[in-house]
Amino acid sequence: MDSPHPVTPSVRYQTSDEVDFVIVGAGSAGGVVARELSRAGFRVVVLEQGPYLRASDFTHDEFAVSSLAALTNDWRLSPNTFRATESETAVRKNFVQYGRVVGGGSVHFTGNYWRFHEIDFVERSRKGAVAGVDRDDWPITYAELEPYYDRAEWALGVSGIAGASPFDPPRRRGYPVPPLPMQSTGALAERGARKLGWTAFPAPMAILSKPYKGRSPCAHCGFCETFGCEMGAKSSTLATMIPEAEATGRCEIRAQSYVRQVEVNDAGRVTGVTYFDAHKVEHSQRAKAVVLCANGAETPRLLLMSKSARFPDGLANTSGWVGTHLMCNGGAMAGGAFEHAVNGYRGVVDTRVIHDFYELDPALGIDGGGGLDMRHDFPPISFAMGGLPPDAPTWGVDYKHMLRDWFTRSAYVLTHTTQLPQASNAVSLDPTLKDAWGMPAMRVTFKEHENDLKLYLFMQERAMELLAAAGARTSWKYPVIGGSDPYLPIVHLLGTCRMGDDPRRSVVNRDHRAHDVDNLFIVDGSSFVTSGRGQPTLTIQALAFRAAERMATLARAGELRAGARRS
Amino acid sequence: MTELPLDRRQFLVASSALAAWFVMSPPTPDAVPAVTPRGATAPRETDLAALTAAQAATFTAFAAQVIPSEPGSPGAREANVARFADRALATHLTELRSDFVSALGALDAEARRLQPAAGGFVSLTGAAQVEVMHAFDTTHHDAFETLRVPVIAGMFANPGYGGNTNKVGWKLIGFEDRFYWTAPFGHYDRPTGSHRNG
Repeated sequence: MDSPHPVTPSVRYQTSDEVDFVIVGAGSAGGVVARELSRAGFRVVVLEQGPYLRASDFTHDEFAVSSLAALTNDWRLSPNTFRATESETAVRKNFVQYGRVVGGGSVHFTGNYWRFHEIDFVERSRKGAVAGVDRDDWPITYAELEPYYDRAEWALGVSGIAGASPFDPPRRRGYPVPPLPMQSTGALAERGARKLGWTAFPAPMAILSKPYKGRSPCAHCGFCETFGCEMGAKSSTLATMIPEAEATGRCEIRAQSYVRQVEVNDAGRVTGVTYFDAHKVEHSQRAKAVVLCANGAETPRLLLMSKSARFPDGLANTSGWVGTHLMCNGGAMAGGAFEHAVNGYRGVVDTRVIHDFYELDPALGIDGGGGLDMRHDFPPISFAMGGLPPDAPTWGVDYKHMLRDWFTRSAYVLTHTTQLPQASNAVSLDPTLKDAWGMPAMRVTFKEHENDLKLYLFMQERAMELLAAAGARTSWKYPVIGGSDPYLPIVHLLGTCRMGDDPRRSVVNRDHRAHDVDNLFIVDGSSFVTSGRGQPTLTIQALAFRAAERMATLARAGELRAGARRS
Repeated sequence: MTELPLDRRQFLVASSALAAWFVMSPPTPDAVPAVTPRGATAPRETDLAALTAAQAATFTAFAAQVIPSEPGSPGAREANVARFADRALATHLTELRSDFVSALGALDAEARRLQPAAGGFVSLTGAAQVEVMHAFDTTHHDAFETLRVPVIAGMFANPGYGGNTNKVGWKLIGFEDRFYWTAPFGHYDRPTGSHRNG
């Protein structure tokens, strides 16, 4: 899609200008890094595959948006291939989905804004090894990241209330604005949780409940999940970080720019990137340092495409770990119909969250954990396709009557869980299929660990308990659809360029600096060591604030020039 | 492998047909012809861009079995889903036209198999159409979904795409497209809602 409104950038650099940083990807992480580095005085170019849409471009048009092709990657142009194991030949399948606009996934995401808990960073040492899994502790702890969680929450604008969850990790202060008003789905979650002895606490959401930093609060139109916010109340980087970066006069957002290669000089330092513009014309942007924020699938693909004599297996890949250990969070879903109107299509999607199963009783023999929320997950077309129980009629008078009677009275419990890091789950380059630009298509190898499927089913039983305790007249399970299933694409793209202290089993160090290339940084979901329990956006953004601070320090020390040597 | 709890074939095939209708190039406002509602009948030949009048009539008859019309309760026929499908197949979903037309042919073939004397699906009585629908769903499930998905999309998409005339789909399910809502949103978040009393 072309950008419908011409955008006048605050600054325009020449590709021959050697800017301080070129950032690939203007999403959740790229927006933060761009804002932080440009405010720190650096000259920044951000290259984004997708168009530069504005709040006024977003609509309630489910037919246009439900495919998400208006806001996400278009599989006709950028095909994926898939195989469950390395012994198979991959076949074409729409498998990976990500935001492909300025603002990235933060434009269409639901707004769930969970911090990781302390356990998420130290699960290897606390819980031990799991067969077939390369689980490490993170090189940083929750305590080290906490200041940056705080910075993200206050820079972007988050609704919530500190202390409402007994499971929350320590935090230095509360949220900038109070929780959003409780929906009927939230009230039902509270009712059910109370009966079960669980805690349903006000959901921390990257959606404003009150005016904040000149932005208007949520009007409760209900079109959050998969839609862009017409009010600018959703705290996407499009609504927050990007305009602040542009306001410095030092940051250029260059939309519809698809990077195909990171360039390297004889000294093994990166010198910039080569990209296609909207007309498929190639350009090269020079830079002193390159920051990849292209998401956990496109970042490793770009590294693997950036082969050179010095890096024959792909840039920054002497470990062989680039693209490996893909995780995407899992989960299972259940639905219920209630006596009275829930009207869950009105207002924000989530207003209560349950974290009682964030860590599980070891006696269960299931590794990891998860969270639950109750929501109405279906706009009208989607409801008619998938909102009824899987054994409901799909046509005829009875079908019509169920649609009539259940749309306003249905609610769904979604669960969000751990996925374990396995080396064989990987993003790689398809050996034959090309994308619309002639570049190798993304190939994904993915098969869930047996533990993860057990965890989904365990969480689905909790979802059924919650619906029953909340008073559902009837409830039903949805098929447990794992990432290797032929139906749903995966989102939450994590773990493919792991951060770590050991260059043999990680791609970047604790500062997000590539072990192999001193002036190359990777800041997005690919840096994750473990998956957490879902809702990774806040952690991606906290890491981005922290990484940008480290980059600025290194740049000021003169370490990032293409010709500089490591100190 | 852990046993999955439910048979999911129907769910998956339906989703795959849905994806075909959704994952194509998203329409831009000026790509969708302006729509003037013409009432609750199948489009006239002169209105059609991708389908023949006979194809539109067959699809309308099929649609009327998916979401039937009842006294005081309009169905897919009144929503003008054939106009929706025709517009889509003529503009941003041209890739799907061949499969759509083939599915209509398969539906008529199924009708003639069960009722050799009939001229096709559209000429059958309502009861006979229901019988054919059951058989068609069983023997040609993918083709059935190829036709069912645009019925649903045409029933519930924004009226600007040519279906959902007079918002009959949205009114059926109780959906209102507004730019703001205020609490209480539903029964259970009312200050005196039954979550406190019951």
